[in-house]
Amino acid sequence: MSEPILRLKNITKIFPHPEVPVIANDHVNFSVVAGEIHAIVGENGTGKTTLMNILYGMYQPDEGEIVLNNTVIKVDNPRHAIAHGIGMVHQHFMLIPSFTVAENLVFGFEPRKGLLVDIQEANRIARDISRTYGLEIDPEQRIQSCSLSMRQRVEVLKILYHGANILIFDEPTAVLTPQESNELFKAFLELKRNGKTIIFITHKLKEVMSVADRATVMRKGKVVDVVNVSETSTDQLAGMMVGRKVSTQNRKETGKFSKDDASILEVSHLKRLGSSGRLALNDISFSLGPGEILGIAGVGGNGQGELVECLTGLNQKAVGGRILYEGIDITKYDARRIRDLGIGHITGERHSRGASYKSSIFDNMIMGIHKVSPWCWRGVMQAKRLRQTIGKLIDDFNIKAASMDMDIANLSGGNIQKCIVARELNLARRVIVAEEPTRGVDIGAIEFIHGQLLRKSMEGYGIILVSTDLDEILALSTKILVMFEGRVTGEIARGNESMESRIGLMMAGISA
Amino acid sequence: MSMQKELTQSLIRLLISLGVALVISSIFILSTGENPLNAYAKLLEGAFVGQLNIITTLRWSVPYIIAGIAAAISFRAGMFNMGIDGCVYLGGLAATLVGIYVKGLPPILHISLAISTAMLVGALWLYLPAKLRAYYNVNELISTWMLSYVAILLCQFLVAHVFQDPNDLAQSAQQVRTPYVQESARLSQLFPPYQLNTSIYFALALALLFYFFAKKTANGYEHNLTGIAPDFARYGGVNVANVRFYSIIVTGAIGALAGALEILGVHYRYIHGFSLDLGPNGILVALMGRLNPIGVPLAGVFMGVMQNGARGMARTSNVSLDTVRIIISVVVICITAERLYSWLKLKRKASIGKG
Repeated sequence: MSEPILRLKNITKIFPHPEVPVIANDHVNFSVVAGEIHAIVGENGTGKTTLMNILYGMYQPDEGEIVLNNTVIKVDNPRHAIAHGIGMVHQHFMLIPSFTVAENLVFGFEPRKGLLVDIQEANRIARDISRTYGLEIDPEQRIQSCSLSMRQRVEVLKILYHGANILIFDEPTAVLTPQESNELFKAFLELKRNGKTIIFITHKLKEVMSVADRATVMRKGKVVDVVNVSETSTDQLAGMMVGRKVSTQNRKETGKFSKDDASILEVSHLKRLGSSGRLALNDISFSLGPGEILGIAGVGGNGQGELVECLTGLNQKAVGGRILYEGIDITKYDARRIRDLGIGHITGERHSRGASYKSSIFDNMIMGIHKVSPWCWRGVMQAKRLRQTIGKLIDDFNIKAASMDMDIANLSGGNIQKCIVARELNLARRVIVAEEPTRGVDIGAIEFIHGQLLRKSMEGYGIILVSTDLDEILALSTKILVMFEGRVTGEIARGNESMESRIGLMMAGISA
Repeated sequence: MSMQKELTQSLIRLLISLGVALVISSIFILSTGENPLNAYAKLLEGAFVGQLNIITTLRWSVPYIIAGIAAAISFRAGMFNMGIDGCVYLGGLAATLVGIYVKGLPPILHISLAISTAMLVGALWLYLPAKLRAYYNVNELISTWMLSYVAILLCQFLVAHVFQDPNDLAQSAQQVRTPYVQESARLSQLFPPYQLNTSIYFALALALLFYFFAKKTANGYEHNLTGIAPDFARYGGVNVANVRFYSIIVTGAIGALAGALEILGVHYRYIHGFSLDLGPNGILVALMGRLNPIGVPLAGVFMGVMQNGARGMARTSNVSLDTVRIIISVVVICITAERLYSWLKLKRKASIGKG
């Protein structure tokens, strides 16, 4: 093996905390060889992102050093990192929405014509660089109207324009559809062909297997192992990641609910307008019985979000059709009444809706029960009882938190999602709407959340599972609905043969 | 967080900011040729030394606490309500008119009537901006601010042209003011002849009520979450529009209460200009107290100390009253500088972590 281009030696990073200081990186050694695609895998909260932030100059290590091309370098801030040819694409993009693609690309290093930015030149640069690396963009489009995958490409081109040789990606596929992810991986290979070195953080093992050359596995702030991907397997990687054997969840039984049981939730001919004035939901009908998990599959943005908003009272502007819950017409009900009726909602908009990041775990978890008996008496919250309930939920859901009074933002992504799931499952009485319940969380949390959903369905809850992760849908659902452009393009019962390929066609809008 | 912990945290924050503010203000004082230490000594003396000064400091704390809570109610819900000053004047005038023209009531009823009328007027004044903000998304900052000017000028107009004290007219006095309210509408002084009066009980009760609401009630929880994370609140079933609507209205009522108490407790008549910027200062108090139900009353007292101390300082040294504005401004900036404080907190935690 050739000499590594970059080495991180003995990196230790401790985040201070009054009770339990968090050791994010514990004497971590990490190296990459020029021109390889190197994956850093591990569950959330294992210090992957911290390590890369240290490399990128966002944090300073408490111990250890960074060696680039056999010289020790000091990276005080991202500007130093960029000067050393190290660039990073964050999970949340840092682009200016009102600027065009080209303007964002050259931002900070604009070509000038007199006092003005030379827009023509900027567009030309953008086109050139996009062609060189095979990353397709439209230089004149404004960022705000770009899809997430286009924005990501702009970020990548931006750091390439800044002269990056080592590119770091933090969970690059978390915001992408499967197809877009494949496109990104093609781009990785193209970059590799151009002599770039790629480091990407992920916890999706499939991605590691399909694109990476080597993988560094991290667990609890330490490096467990570095492996050549060609010599390992998904199971082996998963085992190293969680430190025990994982059984990939699969639905085994359907519970003891006969088909004659009346359906709990009945949606008929639901229509709703989208923001553009076109029908975002066009004649949606389905029913949900006790113990059923209804998977709603489809490429993101085909009306799933709008459907969930209608079901959960976040949008009461259906222009046709109705939603019956236990025989009650809830089409015009607001979120409070629907929650009071016992429909839990694990939202896919975790950052804006799912949690209040400036509040404590406690404040986040009491939403919903804070106003009902016995946790509330004549408008006064019963602190003791609330704390008991939340404490129990934290235990039951194995949420790793020092105290329920700490800010929820201090938890890892997986634990925040567990808080949300715990809150909603506790609130739900008969129906749970789960929207992307495991997107962007680690394997341990995925396993746990899937287990909880299955348990609830065994208990007789009806569950609507909206997910763009087809594997998740296939693993859990009793029947599957596919959505395309606001319509249902097909319904498939579980166990149907050639299920996957048929769903694929339906996702593209072809009834099969 | 426990009440005690919050109290210490607020105090620590206030003291640190004050330290920084004093250092910066020293530069200004030095530039006037005075000794800053001497000036600060005079300030402290003006605020705390002697019966008169202590009682007067308390007297000033009362309106600042109330105005601060008024501002905090809106700000906690994320509403930039700039209409408090207008409500202070309207409340003052409404209380005055009830105090003058309603006759023959026993003091308790008379005062209650005057105060509730004032609060009702204050609430109604902000009804329109509240409605527009909550249900039609019209920016509340501009509408409340402009209406505040309308209110202030309206009060001045009404008093000058309708309710002006006839004695003043005879003497062609320049001041815009009404006649005195009746005895039965006056709050009694606690230590005559000092101005401190029973309005301090209102301030204390309001502070307790605010704490109880913010920390213990379901509505207070929803109110807070609406301000911090409106999307989360809406998803959780909170009627965000209603919370915003009532926050703005209640701010109007409490602002008017501050005005009414000033009139009934101190001036006994409406004098135009009596507010002394209670509205803007209330916002400063709310920010200094970080909108926290313990921090805000504390900041109200602090404001009272500074304002009263400054008068002492200006009387006994060459330092102008405006220096205090600099100190307060810097305190506000320091306290609201989230970064500064989280940096300090991190340092502290780091030392604990190691030790």
